[in-house]
This record gives sequence, C-alpha cells and structure tokens, in this order.
Amino acid sequence: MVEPAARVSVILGGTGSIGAAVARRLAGTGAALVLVYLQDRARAEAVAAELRGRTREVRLVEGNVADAVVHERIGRTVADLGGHCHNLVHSVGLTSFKPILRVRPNQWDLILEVSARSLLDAVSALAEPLAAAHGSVVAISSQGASRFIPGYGALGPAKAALESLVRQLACEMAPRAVRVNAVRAGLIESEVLQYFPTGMREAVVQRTPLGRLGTADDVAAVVEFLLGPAASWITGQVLEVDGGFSLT
Amino acid sequence: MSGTTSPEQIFEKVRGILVDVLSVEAGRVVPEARVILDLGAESIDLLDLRFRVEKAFDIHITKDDLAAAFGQTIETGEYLARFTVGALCGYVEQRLEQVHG
Repeated sequence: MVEPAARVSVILGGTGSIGAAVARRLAGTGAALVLVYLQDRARAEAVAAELRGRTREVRLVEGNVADAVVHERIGRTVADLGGHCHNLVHSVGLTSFKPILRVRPNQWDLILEVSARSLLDAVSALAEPLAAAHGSVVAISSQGASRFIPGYGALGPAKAALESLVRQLACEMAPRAVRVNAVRAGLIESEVLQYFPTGMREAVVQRTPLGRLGTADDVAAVVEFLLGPAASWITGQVLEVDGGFSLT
Repeated sequence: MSGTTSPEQIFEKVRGILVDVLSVEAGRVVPEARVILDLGAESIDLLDLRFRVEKAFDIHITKDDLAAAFGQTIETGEYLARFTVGALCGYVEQRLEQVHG
C-alpha cells in the first residue's frame, strides 16, 4: 500500500503510441501509473522499464478492456495504490481496415465493445476512486467520428459512440466533481499508418494547414492539459487536435 | 472447466465459436479446414476467436503461446497451412491439460 494522497493514473492502451506518450508526460508528475495493454508483453515491459526510472510506481495489467475481469483487476490495482484514481485515459481502438459494408456482425460488436463500451466499463468500475480524487477522464477519439475515412471499418461509428458517451458521462459524473473530455486526434505518425490505404498519408499532409502529421506527443500534451487543473472548468468537450485538418 | 473435457467436446465448442465468429456453416468447420485460408478468418477474427476460446475453456492464451504453437513464419505460408481447426482443438486440449491437469 502507498499513501492515499499519492496520485494514480490509469491508462487503457497505455503501451500504444499515444498511451505511452501520455504515460511519459504523467511520469514527470510523479504519478503512479497503471498501464493496461492487450497482449504485447515485451512491449509493455519495455515501456514500464523506461518509465520506472522517472516515476515512483508502474503497474501493468494485461487483457481485453471489453472483458469485465480486466476492470476488476484494474480496480484491485487502484485499491492497492491507495484507492484514489486521479486520471483515467482511454486510448484504445480496434478495427478491421475495410469498407463498412464488409464488416461482419461479430466484428462490429468487438470493435464497438473494445473501442467505445470499454470507456463506460472503466468509468463504472472506477467511479468511486475517481470521485474520491475529484478525478479527470480523457478519451482519445479520431477524425472518423465525424467524417468518412476510406477503409476505416467500424472504428468511425465506434469513435462517434465514444464521443457521445463522453458527454453523457461528463454530466452524470459532474456532481461528483469528475470531469470527462475527449481529444479528437488527427492522423499521427505511428505504426498504425501501415494499415491505412496507400497514399493516404500524403493526402492528409497536403490537406493539413500545419503541413505535417501529428506526433503522439502532440496529442499527449493536450491530454495532459485536459487532465490537469488548468482545464478545471472544461467538461464534456471534444477538442480537435489535428493541425487544422478538420477546417479544410 | 474440468480436465476431463473430451476431444469431442472441445471440437463441438470450438466449432460453435468458429461458426459464430466467421459466420460460416457448421458443415465447413471440419478438423482439416484451415482457419484463415479455408474459413476466411481475418486478423480481427483471430482476436475474437482467442477471447472466446479463453472464456469458453477458462484458459489464458498469450501471443507467445500462439506463436509457439503455430509458428511465426507467416511469410512462408507455414502458419497459414498449419492453423487448422484440428490444430486449434489440439492446442486447446494441450492447454487444458497444462492448466487443469
């Protein structure tokens, strides 16, 4: 057990590009980090090893965030860290890159469960620790929530559901002094790019007023802002972080 | 899930899962059918399949376990050919013996 006053941050998808970038920023604040990842243990151990020198505690939780068992494990880990959850970050997305008309029912269900419903599961499981800490929640959305992206499968609808869920949760958790927001990220430089249609990267850069793709840290910096006290009067909002892409 | 699950029971459960996940007719799910090449599983389906098999048999399957069981040489096609319904059932049987004795 650690002292109850210690800051605790839970990051779903904590070893992915954006999740790890958020973890690096929060590590600088000395928070205990709980990083939740799906299956790549070697990668998770590498991220944890990097962070352990920079913050007081890093815990790893492996599993599918659409599975209630994982949320029980996260809840037990937070309890062991003092029972307060100051920050919850949802940086999870799953899709099958293909036209939406070719998405099968089981694929739709899995994509929506992992990419959207898992935020509800996480906030439900951590409602008391979040309220105890007057915590803040940030979900990572994407451009697909509001516009057509070729071959994006069911992830666009899932992200739209995620954003709507953010607004619902923001209002329902506000009386408990818990804020809930989202960042709608543009295309960033990451390994996921390999799954997008050929030529898409160049097309996006050309359409982006700031003339480049984002980095994971471009997004993480805004997440850190929304989690922190400077955003204490912001809740239920979706902030575009896309180099101006959505304006064109 | 007890350690006494018979190979026939494992096959029936795995077949039911594959029918649900891949929307294929049960008759196509035979031991020699290749999950990717014959039944059309995509990468997201393999994840779904893993989650459902874990739940159905109360076992934990890691990425490393699967790589060890079926090989990682996707480039040569070896993995695609080796990943049959029968091989999947054999893998589940082996894991049940390891976990439940």
